[in-house]
Amino acid sequence: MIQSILILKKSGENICSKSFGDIEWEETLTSGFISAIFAFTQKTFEEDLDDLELGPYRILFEQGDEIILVAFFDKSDSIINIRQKLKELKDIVSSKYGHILTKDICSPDEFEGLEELIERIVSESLDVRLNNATKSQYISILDSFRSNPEILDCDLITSYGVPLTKEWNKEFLDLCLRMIDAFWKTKQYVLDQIILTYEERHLILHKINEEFVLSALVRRNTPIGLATLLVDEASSLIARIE
Amino acid sequence: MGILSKLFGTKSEESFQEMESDLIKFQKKINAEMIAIFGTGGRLKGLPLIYATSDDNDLKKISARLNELLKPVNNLSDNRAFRDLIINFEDSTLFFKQILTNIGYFAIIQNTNSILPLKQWFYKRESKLKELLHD
Repeated sequence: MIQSILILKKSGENICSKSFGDIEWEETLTSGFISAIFAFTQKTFEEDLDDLELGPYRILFEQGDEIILVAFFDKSDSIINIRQKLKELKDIVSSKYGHILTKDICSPDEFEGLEELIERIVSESLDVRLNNATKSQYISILDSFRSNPEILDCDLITSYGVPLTKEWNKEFLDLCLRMIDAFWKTKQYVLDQIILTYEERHLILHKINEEFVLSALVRRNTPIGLATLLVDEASSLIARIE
Repeated sequence: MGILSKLFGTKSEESFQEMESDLIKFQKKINAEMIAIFGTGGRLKGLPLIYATSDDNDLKKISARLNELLKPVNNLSDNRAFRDLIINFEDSTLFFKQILTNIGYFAIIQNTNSILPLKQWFYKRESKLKELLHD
């Protein structure tokens, strides 16, 4: 879960912060920490900061023209989901409060409604926004794929980390999401497929396009070549749907 | 290296040399940019103690700057006992772990590589390192 969201001006002034978990992040210390991280990055690396892991938490940064948005969240959460929320928040804040943000000095009182906005975006579920006809076509392909004796289970997972058809075991979904993050996070290599093997079963995560990853749990002792072939076939069918 | 047996009076120079050879071998094996055990407090603050790198100057600078960063991290993490810090940059990853209150372990690797071997190297030697580096 998202523990906290913090919005700062690039100059370091705190604009707004909102906590959602049990953990209260002390504003001054957190701002000091963020400034120190950016100073360290600028002095030491000629690269942009992506994200940071601190004990059981992850910290993600999103920069606008005037602001830095920071999300503190549990390591098990999908980074893609959180990044999407931060981007959405950045766009709304920049357009709604842009005229205040360009001022040299601004006080948190000028950002009326910002806390409520953060709360709305954080609590909003990034559900699969598909029309019913398209969703039925996906489900029909998944049903047919699942009926193959070699396939124990399957589902489509959106790039935001939301499964399309069913409730997942949280721990298992967390594991998959950590893997799926790599499809979008790894910049040097283009990953198409990740195969996890446990107790002689294969879990195949196949990136279909920018929207979906097909997950397939393959029956024990099924040859990996056959399994990937089946996944390829189902992925091609799904990719053809407009 | 001779300085270490003076800093940690009762330990032999050979123990430090052995640990450093092991670290250099490991750095080459995983193709890490740098790996170091360095001081994070007291008289050792900012001092690289046992390390493997192709650029000593860079390592010294990063050890010093990492110390500047650790203060706000420790302030933030007060009562939360964060022991690991991982910073993912566009192309590299910095992994940090506190070994003792005044000594830490850090490494910089390409972000396409896993940090798991860094953790494994550390955990296999944790008690040996603690014994060696205890004042």
